[in-house]
Amino acid sequence: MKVALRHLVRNRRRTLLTLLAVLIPVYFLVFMFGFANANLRDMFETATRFDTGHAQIRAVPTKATGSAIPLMRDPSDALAALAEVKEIEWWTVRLDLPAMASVGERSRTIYVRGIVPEEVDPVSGLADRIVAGESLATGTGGVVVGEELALLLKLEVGDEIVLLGAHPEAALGAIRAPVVGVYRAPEAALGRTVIYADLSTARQLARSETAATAIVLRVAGVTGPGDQTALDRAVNDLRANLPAGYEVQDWLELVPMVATYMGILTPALLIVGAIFFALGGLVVLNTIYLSVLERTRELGLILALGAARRRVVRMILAEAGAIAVAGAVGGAVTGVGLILVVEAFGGIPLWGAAAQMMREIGMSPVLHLSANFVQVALSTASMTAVAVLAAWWPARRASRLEPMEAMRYVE
Amino acid sequence: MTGMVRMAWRNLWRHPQRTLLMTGIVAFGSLVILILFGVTDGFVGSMTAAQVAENQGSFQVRTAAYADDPVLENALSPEQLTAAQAALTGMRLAGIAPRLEVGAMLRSAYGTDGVALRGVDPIAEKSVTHPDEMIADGRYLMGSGEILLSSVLAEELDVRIGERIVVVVGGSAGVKSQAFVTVGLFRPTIVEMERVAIAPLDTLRKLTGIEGATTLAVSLPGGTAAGRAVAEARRLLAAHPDIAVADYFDLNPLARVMISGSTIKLIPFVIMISLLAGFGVANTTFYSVLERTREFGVMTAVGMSRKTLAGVVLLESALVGAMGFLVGGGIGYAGLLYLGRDGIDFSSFVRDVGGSLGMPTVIYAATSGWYWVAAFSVVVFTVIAAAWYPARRANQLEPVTAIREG
Repeated sequence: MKVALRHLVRNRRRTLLTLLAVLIPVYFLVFMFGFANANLRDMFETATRFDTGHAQIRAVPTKATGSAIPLMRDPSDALAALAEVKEIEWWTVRLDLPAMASVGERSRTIYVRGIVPEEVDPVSGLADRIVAGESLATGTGGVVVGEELALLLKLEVGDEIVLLGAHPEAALGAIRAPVVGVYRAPEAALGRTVIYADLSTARQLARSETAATAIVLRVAGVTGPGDQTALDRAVNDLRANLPAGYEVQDWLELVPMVATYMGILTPALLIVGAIFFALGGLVVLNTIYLSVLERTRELGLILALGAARRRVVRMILAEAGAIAVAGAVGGAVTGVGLILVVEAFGGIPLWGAAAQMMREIGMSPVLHLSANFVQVALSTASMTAVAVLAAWWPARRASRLEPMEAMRYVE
Repeated sequence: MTGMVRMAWRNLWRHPQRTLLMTGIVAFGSLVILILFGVTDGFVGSMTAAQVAENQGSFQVRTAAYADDPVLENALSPEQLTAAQAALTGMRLAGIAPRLEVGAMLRSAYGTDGVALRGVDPIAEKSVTHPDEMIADGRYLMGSGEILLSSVLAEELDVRIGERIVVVVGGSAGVKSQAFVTVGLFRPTIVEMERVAIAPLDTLRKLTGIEGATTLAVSLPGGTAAGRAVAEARRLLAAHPDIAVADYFDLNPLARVMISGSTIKLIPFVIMISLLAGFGVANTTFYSVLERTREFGVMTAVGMSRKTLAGVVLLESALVGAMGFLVGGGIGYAGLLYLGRDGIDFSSFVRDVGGSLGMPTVIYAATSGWYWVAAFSVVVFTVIAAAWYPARRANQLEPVTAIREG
């Protein structure tokens, strides 16, 4: 080992370049993973807080209902079962109805989302998202519309909107409701299509006093996309308790977009990682090969003095190992360091059209980074492994030298 | 000069293995960059092509107000429609078709779905977006009161060919509904089109009470440059300030961001890969210069200028760069041609994520003759990184010491 280190110091500049070749891939990968992690967390937070919850209890569909969620006539038995599962820390009843919204000559197909404002507000922050007028309160009978929809229908706070309920399993109800507020949705599509109403107002549209389409719930201890096991356990407990006719869907089933994104992100990062690792590996291979070539005479002498061939291999691998470990750890440290620095400044804000696009797909316009220990460790370890593996061929070549010929070797 | 090249070339092949390794590094870098550019560009190209061919046409003519506020009251009046069609007769077009587009609710016996209902002239539309060629089941529109649904909608609503479906729309006369007969199901490749239902223009005009059309979709003959055609259409319609021409980017404002975004994202990749390849080659050159100290000393002693010496070393790495570039470029372009022909199927991803952005499900790589410029950065980096040390070394070389030391 000492011999190996001495060799590295002998040729400082070359060692440094090789070190960088190992450092850069690790650094880049750590940084990319950082982006991906923060992206996923962002998607998770937006989806689970504002839209889906961690999971939902829904009625099992008995026939096609278009894009409408099957109706539960009276979810009180499901609520009773829910109370038995202790991991569930929060729940609320919701009624989503497809409806036609008209204002004067303008009309759009939308969803009316009937909620219990007092239960939903602390989790979704709907009240904080109001940009004009005020938020919903139980029993007031008004509705809150998204900014995008307000623009499309030329609506202002105080205007009246006509809603025509169109749930295929409910009676057709129609109401005239005042717009009490305008909210800014985390995702443009939500703002265009979801009108919030008090649960009892929405029930008037369905002409039923107990109807609901979902019980939205949150599970204790689930804080990010990585807590799937805890979530699965709670969902299974709940399934065991529920009466027939109900099913439980978790957030990944409710927003398949995030599930697909997670599914494609990992392979994409692995491909990028592999490309950089391969290039880094080639550079290490090249360097070690050179240093073996350069020392042909010296290695011949070592072999002639009776060193075991295995020992020569080990010496050269140790050399590569030292570069690899130093480079990979250096890359990991600089990568994580950069992530911490960016986060300390509050992320990278986007502006203009790029910010608009992020909103269109439901993501925050501020790019965040977040390091995950396991990913950093794996990136570091695999780059080290690639580098050492790359050194194997020149090392073997060195050990197969014929001492006499090697000592005679001239450039 | 030829002497220098010959010398550099001979020097390289003194160590074939080493040279091949260096070439491999440069080739790999060039290859990766080429493929990255081809796939990214192809993605954008496929997206545009699918939108134009299936959904929007090459460009659209609308009222100036419709762009900001796409509602029926901003539709082209019958007079404006006639005027626009007359103005565009001077252009060479593949097709021109009026459309009446309106948000509607579809109700089957089982379900409800919100859709974009598109009223089309059944004959004219065939030469713009060819909906007749997308029919997967049933037949194309033939008479009034008929409707085409995407197969996804039909499944959600549990509607079969020949069954009735109720269309609810809001128009100038308030909310109205009418039953349509489902005559055909179409299968689009862009997800956005799955939320579209197609009905005859005249039936929709009666239902909404709007006599004109919301848009006039235009398609161009193959090989026409869209940008020039749009400019010409704007010139022909200049006499009608209330009529506007919307090109692909006006119709898909997010596409511009996506295009610039995807190109910008490639820059760090190109830099990193170039850097890595540069390091690999620099290491080798550095070593080969050290090793030849004595040889260089002799050469200077017999009268070779230091500049020439540095030039030879530089030529060596330039030759390696060129070889690697040729190999990587060759393989890269071959790979792109293959991906351009067979495409990469992204359907599962696009269905959930990209649908709202109008991405197509199969992406074909592009092969532009200009990608080599990006890949060339690897060669440039390589040569610059490799040149720095030898140039300095050659400059400081003292013949006598060099001969003694080496």
